[in-house]
Amino acid sequence: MTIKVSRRVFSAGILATGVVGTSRGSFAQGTPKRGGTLVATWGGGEPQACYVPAGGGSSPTFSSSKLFERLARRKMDGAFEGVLAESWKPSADFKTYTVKIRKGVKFHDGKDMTVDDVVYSVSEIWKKYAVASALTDFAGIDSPDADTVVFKYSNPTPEFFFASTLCSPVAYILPKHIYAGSDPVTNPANNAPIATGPWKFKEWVRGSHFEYVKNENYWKKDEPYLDRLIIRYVRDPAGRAAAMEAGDIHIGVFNPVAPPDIKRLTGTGKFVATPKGYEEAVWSTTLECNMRNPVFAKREVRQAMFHAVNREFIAKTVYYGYARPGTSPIYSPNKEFFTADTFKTGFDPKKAAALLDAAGFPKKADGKRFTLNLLSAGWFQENGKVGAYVKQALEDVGVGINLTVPDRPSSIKRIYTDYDFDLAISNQANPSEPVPSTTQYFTTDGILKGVPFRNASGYSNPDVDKLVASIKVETDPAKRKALVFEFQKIITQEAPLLPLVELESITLASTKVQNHSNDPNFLAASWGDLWLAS
Amino acid sequence: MQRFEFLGRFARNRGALVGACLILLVALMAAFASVFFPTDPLRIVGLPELWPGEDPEFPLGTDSLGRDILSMIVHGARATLLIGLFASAVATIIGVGVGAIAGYFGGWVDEIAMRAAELFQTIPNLIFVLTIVVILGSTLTNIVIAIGIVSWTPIARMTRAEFLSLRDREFVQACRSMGMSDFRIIVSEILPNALPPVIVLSSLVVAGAILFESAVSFLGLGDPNVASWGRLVGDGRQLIRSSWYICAIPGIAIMITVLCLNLVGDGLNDALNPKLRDR
Amino acid sequence: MAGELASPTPALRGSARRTAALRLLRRRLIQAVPLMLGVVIINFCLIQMAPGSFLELMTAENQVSDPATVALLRKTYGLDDPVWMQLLKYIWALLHFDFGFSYRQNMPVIQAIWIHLPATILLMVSSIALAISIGVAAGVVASMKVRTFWDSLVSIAAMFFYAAPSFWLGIMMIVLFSVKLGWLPVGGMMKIGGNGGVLDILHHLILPTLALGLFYAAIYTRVMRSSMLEVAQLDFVRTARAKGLSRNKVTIHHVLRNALLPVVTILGVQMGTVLAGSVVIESVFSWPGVGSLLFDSVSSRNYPVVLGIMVLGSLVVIAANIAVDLIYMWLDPRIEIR
Repeated sequence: MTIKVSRRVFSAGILATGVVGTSRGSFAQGTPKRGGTLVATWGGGEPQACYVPAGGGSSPTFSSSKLFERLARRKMDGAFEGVLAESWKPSADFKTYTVKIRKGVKFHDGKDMTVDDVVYSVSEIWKKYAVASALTDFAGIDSPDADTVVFKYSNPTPEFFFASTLCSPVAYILPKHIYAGSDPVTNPANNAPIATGPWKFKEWVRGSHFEYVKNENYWKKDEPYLDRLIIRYVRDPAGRAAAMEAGDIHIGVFNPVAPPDIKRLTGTGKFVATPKGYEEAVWSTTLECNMRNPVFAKREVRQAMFHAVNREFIAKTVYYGYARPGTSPIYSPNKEFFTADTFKTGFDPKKAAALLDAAGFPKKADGKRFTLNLLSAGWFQENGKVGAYVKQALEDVGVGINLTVPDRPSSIKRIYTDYDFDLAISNQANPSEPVPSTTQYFTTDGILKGVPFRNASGYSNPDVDKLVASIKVETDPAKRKALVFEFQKIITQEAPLLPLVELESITLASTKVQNHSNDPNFLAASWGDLWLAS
Repeated sequence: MQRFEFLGRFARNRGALVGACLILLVALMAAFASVFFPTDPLRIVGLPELWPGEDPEFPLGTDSLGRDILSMIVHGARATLLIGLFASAVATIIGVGVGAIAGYFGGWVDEIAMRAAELFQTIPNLIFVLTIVVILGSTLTNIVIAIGIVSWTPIARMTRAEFLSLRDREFVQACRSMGMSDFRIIVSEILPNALPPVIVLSSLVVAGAILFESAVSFLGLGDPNVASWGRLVGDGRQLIRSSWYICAIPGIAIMITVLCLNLVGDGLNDALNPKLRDR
Repeated sequence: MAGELASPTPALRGSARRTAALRLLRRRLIQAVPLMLGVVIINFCLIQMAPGSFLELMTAENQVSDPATVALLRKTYGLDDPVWMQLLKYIWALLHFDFGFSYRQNMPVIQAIWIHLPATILLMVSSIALAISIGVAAGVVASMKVRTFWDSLVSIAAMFFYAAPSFWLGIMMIVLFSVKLGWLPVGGMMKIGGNGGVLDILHHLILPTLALGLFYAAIYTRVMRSSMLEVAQLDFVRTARAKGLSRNKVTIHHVLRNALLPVVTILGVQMGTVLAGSVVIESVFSWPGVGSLLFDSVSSRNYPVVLGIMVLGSLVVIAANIAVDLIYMWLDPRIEIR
C-alpha cells in the first residue's frame, strides 16, 4: 500500500516531469556509519525562536523537532509508532485513552522525564497553544501511576484522530521544571531548549545557524548516529544551490533550490531529489471565495471561478511540474480519506461563462460581468504568479479583477482578520487526519476573526457542520471514511475554497546522506537515524 | 530669437541631442503602447522562458510565465516614464514652494525651511521610500509621493538660492513699491526668472525617480498590476542560471532611459545656464 | 607649501586650527540635536499612519489568539498609552540607547542592528574606497587628457555606470562572473560552513563592492574632472606654473588637493544614499548586513527595528557630515568656521 502510494506520487511528479529521481527507494544502504557532522538547510528563513509553543510555522517546527519529542509518530507505511509513549488504548466508549509513558527517558539537563511533564505539557501547552483546535472535546488528563496518563474526552474520539493528535508536529513533551510558572511564549528556554530528543541544543548563531550535538544519554540505543547536526539558514535559493554544490550543505528540505537547479544538481549524480517525506504535510495553493460578497451567494458562481482556471497550466508553468491539479479538500496522497469520486470543477471556460450567465451575471457593455478584488498572499513568490494567471483566466470569462499581492503580514491580516478580499489565493498544509486541520476551513466554528489559516471565506452550512461533528465522533473507521468521502463531495460542489494545485515539496540531498525522507513529515522528524556514508 | 538661441545651444551638445531623440522615442513608445500591443502586457501568450529570437512572434522572448517581454517593455515604458514625471512634479512643487518661501521671506521662515530640508536629507533616501511604501501600501500614487518626498530638497535649495539673489533686484523692488502682493511677486515676477536652473534639476530628478522606482519594484514592493521595468528585473532574478535575458533586457531599458535623461539634463544645463557650460 | 602661500587668505595654523576644529565640532553637534529629534518624530508619525497596529500583524504571524496574551503584549509594547506618551517614552528610551525590543529576533533592537552592522560597514567602506580611488584616478586622467580619446572613454564609462541601476549591474555581474565564468561566489559574505577567513570574505566582497561602488565612482569621476579643470584655471595654479614648476608637479601638489574638495563634499552628502543603496545590494547578494535586516523587518512589519535603523542611519549621515566638515577644513586651510 505504502509503496503504491509513494510510487504514484513519485511518478506523478518527478518522473513525469523528466527529473532524475533516485534509483533507490529508501535512501539507505548498508550498516550505519557513526560520527560526522551533517549540515542541513530548508527552503525558508530563520525562525523567530528555536521553539514556538503555538507552532509558529514550519521554520520553528523544523528547528525544534530535532530537540523535542512527541508522544508518537506516524511511519511511512501509515502505522503509528510510540515515541515517548509506549502504547495507548481507548476505553470501550472511546471517551478515555490510557497511554503508557516510556520509562528511563531523561531531559538534556539530566532530570528524568515523568508523567508530570506529560500532564503539564498536555494541559498547559497542547490545550492552550500547540494543538488547541484538536482538543476541543478534551476534558482533562490524569496520571493514575508513575508510567500511565489518561486522556479524557467529553465525546467519543476516534482512534485515528487521537493518534494523529499525539503525532501533531509541535505536540511536544516539555520539561515542567523549566516551563511551569512562566509564560511559555516568552520563556527564554524557547531559544535554547532543554528536551528529550536525540539532539542537544548547543548554540544559535543568529543569521547563520543552529548547532546541535549528540545526546549521549538518548533513550533509543545507538541513536543518533551523527555527532553533530548543523541547521544553516541561507537567504536565497541560488545561495543554497551553490552551497550544496560546493559540498557545504548536505541536505535541504522543503524546496531548498529553484526547480531548474534541482535538475542541474541531480544531473551531476551527486544529489538525489525526492518528493517523499511530505505525505503528512501536503501543501496546496488554494482559491477561496469571500461569501460576504453577495456575488458568491449562488454556488454556481463559485464553481465558475474554478472552471475558469486551468490548474494543469499552474502546475506545469508556475511550479515547473512540481505540483498536480487539486481536486478535493483532502489531498490525493492521503490514503485514508482521499476520494477521486467528487464533484468536478475542471478547466472549462465555456461552462464557467454559461454558469455565470445562468446565475444572472451576463456580460455588460464593457465586457465584464462584475469586478472582484483578488488577493494573492505574497509569502510564496509563486503565489504572485498564480495570481497573475488567475486574473487573466477570470478576465477571459468576463470577470474583472484587481490583483494585489501583499507581503506576509498584510496578507494574513487582510485575509484572516479584515476579510478584505473577494477572491484569495492562499496556501495550506494538511496532515491525513481531516479534523480539524482541513475541516476548520469549512465549518462555522472555523470562522475566527484574527486567527490565520481558518475559515476566512465565511462559508457556513449547517449540513457541513453536522457532518464534521459526526466525523469527529465516529469511531468506526469504515463509517468514518464514508463520512469524509461525503464531506469531500459536498465541499467540491459547494466550492467556497478548493485547492488549485497540490504542491510537491522536494528534498534535495547529497547521495552521502542515508536514511533521509523516511518519515511522512520528514521536516518535523527527529533525524536521530540519519548518517553519512563516506 | 531667444528660443532659437536656446535650441541652438542645446543642439550644440551632441549627447543631449541624441538623448532627447531617444527619450522622444521612448515617450512615443509609451504613448502608443496600446496601439502596438493592444492586449494586456501581463497576459500569458506563449510558452514560458523563450529566449529572444527563439520564436519570431516574441522578438525579446517570454518570461517565466510566458508573457511577451517586448510587450511588457513597451507598456512598462509608460509606467516608468509616468512615475518619473509625476514624482519629479511632486518634488518640484514641494521644492519650489519651500525654496521660494524660504528665499523670499528669509529670517526664521528660511531657517525652518532649511532645517526641514536638512532633515529630509539626513534620512537615507531609499530607506525612507521603502518604509513609506510598505507602510502606506504599494500603489502607484504612494510610490510617486514617496519618491517626491525624498527628492525635493536639492530643488528647494536651488530655488532658494535663486530667490535670494533675485529678491532685492530693482524690478522686484519696483513691484513692491507698486504695492504688489508677496504672492504675486513670487509667482509672476521672481519665479519665471528663477526657473531655468530648477528645470535642469527637475529633469535630473526624473532620472533619479526612475531609478528609485525600479529599486522599489525590484524588491517586490511595486504595484503588481503594473508592468514596470524594475519589477521585470526582480521577477527574472530567480532564473539567472537558465534565462538571464529576462533580467538583462528591462535593465538595459532602464539604463538607456536614465542615461538619455541625464544627457538631456546636461544639454538643458548648457542651454539654460551658459555661464556654467564648461563644467 | 607653495599652494598655501599662494592662497587668497593666510592659513590658520597649529593650535588655532585645532580650536577652530573643536568649535566647529561643538556647533555641529548642537545643531544635530534638533535634527535627530525631527528624524525620530517623522519616523514615529509614519509608523502611526500604518494601517493596523504592528501587534495585530505580530500576533497573526505567531498565531497567538489568546486575548489574555494579546493584552499582555499590548501592555509590554505600551500600546495602551496615548500616542504622545508613546513618543515621549520612545525618545526617552533612545536617550538611553534603548531602541526597543524586537519580538522577531527576540532581542533588543540595538543588539539586532549591532549584529548586522559590521557587514554593512565593510561593504560601505570598501565601496566608497573603490569609488574614490577609481573616481579620482579617472577624473584626473580625463582632465589631464581633456578632449582626447581617453577623456571620452572615461566620460562614456561614467555615464553608463551613472545610469545603470546598481541591483541590475549586480545581477549582470553575477551572471557573468559567477554563473558563466564561475570565478566569484553568487552571494553571502563567507563560504557556508567557513569561519570567515579574511581572504574568503574578500572573495565574497568583490561583486557587491563593484555593484555598489561603480555608481559612485561615476559621480566622482565627473565631479573630479570638472573640478580639476576649474581649479587649473585659478590664479594660484597659473602662478605656480609661471614659477616654472613642472606640469605634473603642479597637478599633484596644487590642483589635485584643491580639486578634491567637491568630492569630499559629495561624499558627505551621499553617506545616506550609500547606506540606502546597500539595502538593495545586500538583497541581491544575500549580504548579511543592516540592509538585509531592514528588508526583513519591513516585510515582517517589525517596526521597532525599522525605526531603529532609520534613526541610526540618520546618525551615521550626521556624523559623516561632521567628519566631512573637518576633513574639508584640513584640506582647505582657507575655510574658517562658517
